Amino acid sequence: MRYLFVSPEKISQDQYRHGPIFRFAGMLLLFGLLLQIPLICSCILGWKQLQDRVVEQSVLRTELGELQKADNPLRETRQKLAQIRQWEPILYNRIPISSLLNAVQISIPHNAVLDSVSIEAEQFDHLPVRGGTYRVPRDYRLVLQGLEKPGGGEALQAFCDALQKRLPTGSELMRSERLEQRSDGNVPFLLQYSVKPSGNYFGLGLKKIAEPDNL
Amino acid sequence: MGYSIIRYLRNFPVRYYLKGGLAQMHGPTISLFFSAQQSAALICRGRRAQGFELEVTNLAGAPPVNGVDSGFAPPSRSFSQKLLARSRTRGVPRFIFVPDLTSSDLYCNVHSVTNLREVNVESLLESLREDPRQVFGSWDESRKFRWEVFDSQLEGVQGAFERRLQEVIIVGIPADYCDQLETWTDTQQGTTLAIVPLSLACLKWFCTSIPTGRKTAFFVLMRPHAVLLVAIQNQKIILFREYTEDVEFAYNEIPLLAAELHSEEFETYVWSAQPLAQDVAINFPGTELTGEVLKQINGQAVVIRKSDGAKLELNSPVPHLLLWLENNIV
Repeated sequence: MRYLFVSPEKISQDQYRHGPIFRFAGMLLLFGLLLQIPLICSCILGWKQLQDRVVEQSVLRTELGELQKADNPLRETRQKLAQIRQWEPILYNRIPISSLLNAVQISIPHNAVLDSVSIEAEQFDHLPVRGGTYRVPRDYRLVLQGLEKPGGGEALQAFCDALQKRLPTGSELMRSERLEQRSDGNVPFLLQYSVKPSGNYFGLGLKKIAEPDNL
Repeated sequence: MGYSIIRYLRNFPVRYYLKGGLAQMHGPTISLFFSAQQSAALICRGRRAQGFELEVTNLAGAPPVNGVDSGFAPPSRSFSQKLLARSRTRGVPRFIFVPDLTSSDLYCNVHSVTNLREVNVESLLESLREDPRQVFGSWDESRKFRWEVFDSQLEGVQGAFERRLQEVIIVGIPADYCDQLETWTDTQQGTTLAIVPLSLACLKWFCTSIPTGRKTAFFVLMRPHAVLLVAIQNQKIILFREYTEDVEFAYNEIPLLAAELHSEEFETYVWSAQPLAQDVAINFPGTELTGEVLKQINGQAVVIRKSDGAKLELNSPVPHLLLWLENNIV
């Protein structure tokens, strides 16, 4: 008497609910759907992250546009700065000769007299600057010739030490000769230095400018 | 009944499964008996009666009773929820309807196979669905009916008619009433297990439960609007008669029918949903199928365990019939 006078649709509905085969199929389907949940969640999270990145990118793009807009007026200044920076190694490697002479002057002892001071630039680098190249020396040869008065003792040595202290870092004494004593008792000498430009010339007697100029 | 994966997926009962139906092996069954005068509901779970309610058609959202205009009352799910709650049962209900249909709403007759043009049950059902006049000439009903064919022991038959099968019983009830019941079941979010007319349910119970042996048995089904008289020989139904006259007329017919059937010995059984009137019970012979008789036939009374632990024994015909039907169908 089961399903007596019941329409086929309702019979199938009851079978779908209570039939063991359909229940098993339903269980498998629901279990399969349950397994999809982590995948769907990760897809949703990934999509959300992508959306966030797209929004972030558009914000950054807008900021970039604004910065580029703000950067346009500074381009000329930056070019000028770049040109100035090109001069940096040139200025760095140029020893102020007057200060070098000043160092020699304040280092020489009383019982020694200089005959000649010779300064020569050597070993040039060619640095490109706007409009051509600039020759920058890597080494300066300082040759000092003079006389040591009689009874001077260690005057020459004191002179060498004092001068060495004032010269830029890396400078070396290449040659130190004491010639034969002359008839008047003076002893001629010759000193040759290799002066290396180091950029720091305060030892030569230069003074720092208190407030640098604003560009 | 053809099933397919696509149809299954289209009608996938996801809500039912997610509500716990997937793991629920034995859902509750509500067997509903209703006639114009009486109604009752038996709530069972796992072949055990959990509750019995009378006059359920008075509850809100009750199922439609055939031939009774209940006015406009929107069906609500609270009807079955209320019944389940009262019997301390939960789950998605399955319904068995036992309506007491009037003569005009129930076609039930015994037909000789030799008189039928159709050679198998399927073609017979097809002819009945197309036009019942193809099978029995005098049919003036304009409504659509749903049809079922049984053998003389009320067992369902299929395929070609066998020679040994001399008679078939054709039963039909209005399709629109079945649709109403199915629609109502949908509002309760349940499923329909069967719509068994009271006459058919009683007869099937009688044929199954009462061994009449070689004697002729007359089964008298007392209904408010008519009396159904059925002759049974060798556990087979051989005759249907319905009397709209009084009970006395039907009883007077029994000896005449017995003589026609050449049955010197016969027994009469009476089934009535309500207790028989005293004059009928005294004046007319026969065994009234109620009380202790039913308890002996079915082996035990219908036992309902109340919430306080007390047992309630029911021996009236309706709960016995509904429990038997529930056990047979589920």
